[in-house]
Amino acid sequence: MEGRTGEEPAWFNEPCILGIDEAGRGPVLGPMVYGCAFCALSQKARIAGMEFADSKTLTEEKRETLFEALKEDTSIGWAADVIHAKDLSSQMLRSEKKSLNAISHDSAMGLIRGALDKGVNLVEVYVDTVGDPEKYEQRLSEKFPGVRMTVRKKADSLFPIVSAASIVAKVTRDRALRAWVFEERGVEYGRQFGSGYPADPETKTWLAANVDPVFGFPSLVRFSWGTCKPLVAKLCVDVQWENDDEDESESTSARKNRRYESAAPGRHSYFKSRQLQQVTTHL
Amino acid sequence: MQGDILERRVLITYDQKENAGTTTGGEALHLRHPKTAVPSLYLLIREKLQEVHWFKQQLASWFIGESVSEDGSLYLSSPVDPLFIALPLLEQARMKKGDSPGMFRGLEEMLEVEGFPGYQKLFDVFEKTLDMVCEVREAGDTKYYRLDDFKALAWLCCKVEQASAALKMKGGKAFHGLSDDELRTYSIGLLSEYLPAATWMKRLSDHYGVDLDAAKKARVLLPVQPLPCAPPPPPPAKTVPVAKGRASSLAKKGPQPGDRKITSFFARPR
Repeated sequence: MEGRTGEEPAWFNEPCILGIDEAGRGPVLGPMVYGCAFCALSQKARIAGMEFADSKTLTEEKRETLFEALKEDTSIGWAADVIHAKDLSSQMLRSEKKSLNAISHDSAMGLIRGALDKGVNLVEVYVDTVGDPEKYEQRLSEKFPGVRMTVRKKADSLFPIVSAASIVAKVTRDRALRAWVFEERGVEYGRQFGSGYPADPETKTWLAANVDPVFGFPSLVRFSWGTCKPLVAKLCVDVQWENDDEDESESTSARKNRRYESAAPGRHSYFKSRQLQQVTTHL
Repeated sequence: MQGDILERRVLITYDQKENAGTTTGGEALHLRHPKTAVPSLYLLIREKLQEVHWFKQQLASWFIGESVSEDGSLYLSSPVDPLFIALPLLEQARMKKGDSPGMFRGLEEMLEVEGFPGYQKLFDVFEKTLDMVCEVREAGDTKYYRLDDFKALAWLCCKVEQASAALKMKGGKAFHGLSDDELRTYSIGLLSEYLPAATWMKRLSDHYGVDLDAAKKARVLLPVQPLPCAPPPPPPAKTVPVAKGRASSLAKKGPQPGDRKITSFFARPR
């Protein structure tokens, strides 16, 4: 989690508000970022005058400027939780699957917990919803009793502190994507991946061009996205699993014979049981 | 990997501990398998002969560096006593007829096996060890060998004892519950991998009084009568005219691997 570090300012003890928003939930590649911004309740009016708006309605340049201003401002705190594509893929595809909503909720709660742990006296929290706003609000209230939770659709355009959080999230994601260093060695990947949204033709072209028949996509890509499945099915080699066609009635020895290509029928049991075949030659 | 013409294979070989961290090449030899006579692959690495085994799971590939090798085979080579490889050659070379012990032959001559030039690479290896199972005569610079049934059987008995001891010590759980006799029966079976069935395998199991086929059919390891591990009594002296010379040549050369055990057979009360 990124955020300001150092000496905690005195206003942390005043009644404070905190906003949470996300960036990069939809794209098939790059991290999903949860951002939060917080300030003293008394600063609410000043924040409203700082031109923060839903980050999507601003130019990239404007967002960068606003983020720098926010970082300079000693009466505003912020933090960002960067969830990399690899983590999203593994959490969503593992045998005990975790939904994207659950991952989002956990990230948001982590940000609130983080602020409280830093000693911020939170009284009001505003969250852009994921899923049903009422249920989400109820969950958050149960989790953080004593903090007034407000969960709304489009909270980023309703509450300036959520707009500030959306700047944190969006700029952090854009920077992460720009600075992305592919960890896959020995392969050259182009960076023309477009916006990363599944519908973007540039993204589609890039995905199809950068899939390895065995390893699939580079770890920048969220394998768990519906966009990936048909590409993997079409462009990657088939994977066979040992128990794919498990037949209950099959005898143990028949199964063993099927699973091993090396066989040592004429050899001593020491070799036979280890499936160690003598290497013969043809001259 | 693109542009890689050679297909890659994974081979794990044996090397001595003191060579850790160093690399060496090796030679692939095509030799007749001592039991089946089927042309088989052997490796000669640092003067050590190794046999090659192949292990392959149906669904397997290797990750090698940054790429994938589709063939998931594992080749595994392990040292094999070159005397096993020599035994069929020696048996044939002495041209034994009836009760005559056969002829002495030069090593170079014996290693000329049509279609198997690999045997000639084993000249040095054989020269160091053939006296363990052969009667040796020297004429000028050349040594002549004749397989000696008595020495060969003693050598095989050592193998049985060593294999049993090794299985007991390092064989793992599977061998923990076995008695010494059962281990010995198992070891004789293991040696059958390397011996021609009609000749040396029969001589060895007869000596121990083990019927391996019966043991296999019954799916149990038959207890063997505890026999002293000794070769049959030496035949009358006249058929072994060089017996005295042999003993002195052993003494001159100093201890050879396995020699100590052979002499201990004679010391054991029968």
